[in-house]
Amino acid sequence: MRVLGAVTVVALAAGLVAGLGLAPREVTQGNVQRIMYLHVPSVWVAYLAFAVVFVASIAYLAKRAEAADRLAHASAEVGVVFTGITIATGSIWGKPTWGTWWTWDARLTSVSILFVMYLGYLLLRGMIDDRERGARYAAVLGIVAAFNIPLVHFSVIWWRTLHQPPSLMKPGPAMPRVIITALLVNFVAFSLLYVYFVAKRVHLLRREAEAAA
Amino acid sequence: MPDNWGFVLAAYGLAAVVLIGYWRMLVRQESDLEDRSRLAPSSGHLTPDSQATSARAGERSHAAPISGHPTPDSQATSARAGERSHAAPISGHPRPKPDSRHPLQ
Repeated sequence: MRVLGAVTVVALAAGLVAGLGLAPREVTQGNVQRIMYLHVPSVWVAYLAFAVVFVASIAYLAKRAEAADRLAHASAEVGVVFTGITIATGSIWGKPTWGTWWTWDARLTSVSILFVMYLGYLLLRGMIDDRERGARYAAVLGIVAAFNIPLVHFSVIWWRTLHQPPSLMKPGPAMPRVIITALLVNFVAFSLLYVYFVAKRVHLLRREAEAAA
Repeated sequence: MPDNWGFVLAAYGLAAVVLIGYWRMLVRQESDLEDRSRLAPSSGHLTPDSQATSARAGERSHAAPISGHPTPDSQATSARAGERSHAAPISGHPRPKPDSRHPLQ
């Protein structure tokens, strides 16, 4: 765990240098575009976290494996943290580029619903005293809530929104290599941070369960 | 368009605060769990740590709690010790019997 933590810190530092130093100033938006190196990897980790909740919830309902339940719980918690960061950094980015902190367009609204659904997931777990029943209900919610992820991702294609369409996986001219590299470094760093947080949280949940037994 | 470095710093600063805050919460929960398992190994499932702690506590069975933080049990013991002033206090230093005490001068 310590090694993973150290590697994560190094990767995050590299991501910071790449995003704030090596990547060039964007022509249209100026330096405020550097928020992208934080905002986009955050939403990637949120998608990843909720996808893990989806798979672990199915595994829990199929096999009643407590390890799967703990993984779903930990991943949902970390996912909520990163979704919160996504919303906050997007709002900060929106003010100088769109002229507003917030607007109820399809992407912003759907990601807010995603955030609230997984907050509800965590609240549901905390509200039910019977651990097994709570895990079962949470697993059902973890599966249902995951159907919001494609809605969030494709909202910028399906509806007319203020938010820009996907930049990485779009047809047409690609971004400059140095921007893609800086983004990839941050993707790796944030993914490592996700793994570190989830591993630590799962370990804590296991110890809590042992202490309660 | 102006560079708006303030917005960039605000975004990175906010993310740093949230992530470090979450990490610190995890670390604090971990140390709380360790403290709890060290102080109250009453569940019957003894971890190697708690077994070592129990062994040490057994060697010094008349001593005060190791951490100095009173547990509910030790508080109850203090209350009882207060009622019976001639009883041995928790610290292990026996007080003299009331009839052997010198009057205050």
